[in-house]
Amino acid sequence: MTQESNNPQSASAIADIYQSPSGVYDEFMTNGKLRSHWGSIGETLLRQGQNWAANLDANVRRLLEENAVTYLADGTRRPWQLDGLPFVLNPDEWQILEAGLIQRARLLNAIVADLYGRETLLRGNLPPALTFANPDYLLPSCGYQAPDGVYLHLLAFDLGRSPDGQWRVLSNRTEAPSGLGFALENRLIMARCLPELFDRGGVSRLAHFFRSFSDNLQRLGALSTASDGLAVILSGGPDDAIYSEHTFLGRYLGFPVVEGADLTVRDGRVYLKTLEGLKITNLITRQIESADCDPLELRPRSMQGAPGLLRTASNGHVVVANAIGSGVVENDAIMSFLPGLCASLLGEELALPSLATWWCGQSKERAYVQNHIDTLVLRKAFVRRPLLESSVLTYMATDVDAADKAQLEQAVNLSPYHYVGREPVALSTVPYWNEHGQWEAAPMTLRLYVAATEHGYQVMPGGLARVSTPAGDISKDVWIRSNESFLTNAGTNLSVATRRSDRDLPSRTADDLFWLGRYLERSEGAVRLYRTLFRYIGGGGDASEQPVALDILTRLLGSMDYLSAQRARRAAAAGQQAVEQELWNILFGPESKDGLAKVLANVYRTADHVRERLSRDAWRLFERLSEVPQLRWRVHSVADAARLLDDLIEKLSAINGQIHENMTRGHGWRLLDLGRRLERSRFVLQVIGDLCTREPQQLGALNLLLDACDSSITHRARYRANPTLNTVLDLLLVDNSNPRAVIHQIEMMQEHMSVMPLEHAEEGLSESGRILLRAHTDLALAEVDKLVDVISKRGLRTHLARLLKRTEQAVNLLSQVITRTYFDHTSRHS
Amino acid sequence: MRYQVSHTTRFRYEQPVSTSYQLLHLTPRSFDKQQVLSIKLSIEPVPVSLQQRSDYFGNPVTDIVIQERHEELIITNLVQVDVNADQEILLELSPAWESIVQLMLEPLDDDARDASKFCFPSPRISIDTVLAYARVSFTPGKPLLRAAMEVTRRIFADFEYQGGVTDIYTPVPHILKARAGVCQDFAHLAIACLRCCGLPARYVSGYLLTRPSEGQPRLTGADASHAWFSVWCPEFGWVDFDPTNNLRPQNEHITIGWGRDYGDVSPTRGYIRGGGAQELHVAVDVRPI
Repeated sequence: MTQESNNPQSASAIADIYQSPSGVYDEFMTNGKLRSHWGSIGETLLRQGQNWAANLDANVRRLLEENAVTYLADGTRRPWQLDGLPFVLNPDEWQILEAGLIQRARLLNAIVADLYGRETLLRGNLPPALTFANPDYLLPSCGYQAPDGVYLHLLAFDLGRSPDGQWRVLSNRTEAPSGLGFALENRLIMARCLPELFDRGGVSRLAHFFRSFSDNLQRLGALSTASDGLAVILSGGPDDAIYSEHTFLGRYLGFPVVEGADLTVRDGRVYLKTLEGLKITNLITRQIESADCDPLELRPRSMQGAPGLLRTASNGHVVVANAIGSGVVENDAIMSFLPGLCASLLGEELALPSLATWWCGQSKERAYVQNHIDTLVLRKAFVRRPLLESSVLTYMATDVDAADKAQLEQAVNLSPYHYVGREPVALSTVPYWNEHGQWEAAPMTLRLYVAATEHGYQVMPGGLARVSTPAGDISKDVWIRSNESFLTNAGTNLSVATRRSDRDLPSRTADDLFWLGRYLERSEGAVRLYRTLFRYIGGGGDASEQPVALDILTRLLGSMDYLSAQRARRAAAAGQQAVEQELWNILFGPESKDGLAKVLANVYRTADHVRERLSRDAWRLFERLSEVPQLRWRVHSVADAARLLDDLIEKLSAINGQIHENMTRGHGWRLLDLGRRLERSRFVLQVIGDLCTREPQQLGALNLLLDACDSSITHRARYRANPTLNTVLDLLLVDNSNPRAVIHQIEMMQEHMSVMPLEHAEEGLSESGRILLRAHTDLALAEVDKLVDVISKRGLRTHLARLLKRTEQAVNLLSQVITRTYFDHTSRHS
Repeated sequence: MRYQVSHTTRFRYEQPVSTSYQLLHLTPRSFDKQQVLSIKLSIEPVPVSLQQRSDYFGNPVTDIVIQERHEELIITNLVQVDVNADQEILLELSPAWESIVQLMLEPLDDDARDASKFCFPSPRISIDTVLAYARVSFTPGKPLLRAAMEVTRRIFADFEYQGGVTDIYTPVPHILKARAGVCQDFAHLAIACLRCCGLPARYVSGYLLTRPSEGQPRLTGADASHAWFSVWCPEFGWVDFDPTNNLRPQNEHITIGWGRDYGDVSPTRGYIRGGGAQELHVAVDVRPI
């Protein structure tokens, strides 16, 4: 080790590792030296070699994957990108930005309050086009008086630094600012990847900010007429690009994540449809656009909101955060008016400048833009841009089609107010770890968040840096050194705050959990049957039984809807040799509609709907499970197939274990387990029905039955003899010590239903109680000998058939009762 | 003139509706040219809540919620109204249209400021592609109201009144292409022509006299609610034009309300749970009393 490499401040050492382009401001170094505020993290980067950086990068990636931080783009799930080197903000600059952004938040809130209130700004300060040509100015919201005058509860600002070193605001985000959840995820990961640097560096914690934000939301909600209502997060659901963020915020803030269909407006109040009936709701943190909040008064065909919501908010019966219509100031057109408005509304000078912007809605500005069209960036004035598209390049690039200059000029002349010209900006650069394993400079923007708290606006001491790299955008955690004593933050680590109980379980979520249980059990049943099938094909069974077993199995799969009748026939008709191939195609063929992929897709889709109710570990297991069908390409032989199916059984068991061990024993868990028990009963009843009700008994059917019901070992242990119909029926139907027996399922369902809400009948038993008791009694009183021996002339075991039928009917009836009682016709499953 | 208006809206649903939210623009507003004397609104089934209020433009709105299961919804409004809109206007005396464009950029008084809200595209009125059609009438220096009358006449001449070609969501460029439509389409198109020049124009929803006095022709669009447009200029205020009938509305047009486009003042705007396919019947009768 040479003297030189021990001196990280030496220019040559830095230059070896990182070069910044000339002509722009570099955040990391100046004049070949590290900027001092980067402190120990900067020094560590310089002192440590490539291995450190590569390890860090690998750790970050691993945690991103473990935490399943993803977003949707063009319908596919993409991993969130996070660089291992946080962005360190100079504490002096932080103070300037903090003050400037608080002022800006106050200003924007005052503008929104005026535009939806007294409209004084339209009498002189603001041209009419700024509101009336602005699609985000929602007339039905006019006249709305927000509690405490807070229209903007959360704001985000994108900042960029120009070569002169000045931070400028590139955009104001006031509609439904996103990215807060990603900022938190980034922080959780970085605090784990760089624990010592994080602690020693005195990095400001975020928990306090979130608590103040959430406390204030709840305080404002309580100011509505529904003072003891619920607070919820209104999301667009799993199809939203950043649904994972909604579920994360929901878990973190302890608010249930709901969709429009979960809410209903009755008697002028907003209610959440929960398992226990309608619960009044007083605060809606919306993650959907204003225009989607109310199909009655706003966008007519939107399904994301609730009809009547806007009027309910206007009448003061619910608080929507941010206020409906808050996007009116989220545009480039207003930027040039802010200095004047700041003076007139707040009596202050605007502290933090915006990027120079000329709005063509004014004649002088329009002339300027048209005269400087080649040096300015022409952009649409009233377009709100989603988080994941607002990359650095977007700020530097135009979003209007400038190919045909004459056409463009015509468009600007037709509606000049729809265009702005902006000064091009060469954004500052920062190092990131590129895919070649080097530190490389790339331009960045900084997104900071401001929240309304009980004591005014507060800036989150952290944020989201976004770096535009040739391979796409990546994010960075933002570190700000705290001057405060750490005692104020003591004990407030970033663990999930749980204020919610299952009492507020939305009916739709309850429905999804119920169906998750059902789909899980269905897939387990299917996989078991498939596995049994492949064991026989692979010679696992008695050779003499083989053709028959195949026949039985294909029939069974068909009757369970795991194999369409047509395909089953085709497989059966193809003869012994071809059967294998045909089944193979059906189960593992990429085009097959009957195969594993379909069964597993149902599980994954439903799990996605209830993601915020699942632990991270459980969710990760679901993700792994969903990857299995892609592995089919590796399946080359019967042995491979059996292995794949074994692996699936293992994964399903792991999920069950995870749910059983880590899910709180609330109503949600009970519904999930009810769904599972219900399907398990149906499965066993159906298999017995298919294999045992007809005489003569087919060879090998009993072994097959035990195998499919996972009870071979139990049978062997209990009877120490080959299975007979008597022993098998005893074990699978009426032996309540066998966890696979139908009677055991009935007992478990009785236990669950006895503690479900809304299960109290006027007198005596509830409807579900009666159904279950009857089914239990039927099973308990069944005499196995009679089930086996009473055979009609046509060879039907009449007692057995009747018992199976009655029990199956009871189970189906119970499912209907549960659906009717708890899910309120909102079910999306079948 | 005093009229009795009876307006019945009947929805028939294929399947039962469990909840119905409706926002009604059915009651004519009172203003300088018109005075509402009495209103009798009846709704079947009976709503659990019914609230009267004004919308952003000062039009009366009724919010209703029905929570009773139903397969048919009948809304009937009986209104008596005095109309006094006979007014001789010399279109030639209105200012050149370009001066209004200038005024709208920096409106000087409350009236002009109010008018300036109506100069821009709105949710259902896009101004793309109409400029060429508009320019034929908006030649340099032409008095604004004369140009507006000319647009009215041209739409009447160039477009065929034809139901079923368009619906309430048909965008202006489609109307222009189809050369056909109904009253609201013609109003939307005319408004687009004015707005693409930077001029204030608003959408008016209302009724027409159903049975004209003897010897007079029956106007088109009388058996349902009607629509036309209105243009603003100083001194004259808002002046109405009916492109469906090629005339300036006077005492035979009854105004329900106005807004930026159909969406702001559609007679019924609703959201229902259940219902399936639906059938809508509207019957309007306007008679002098």
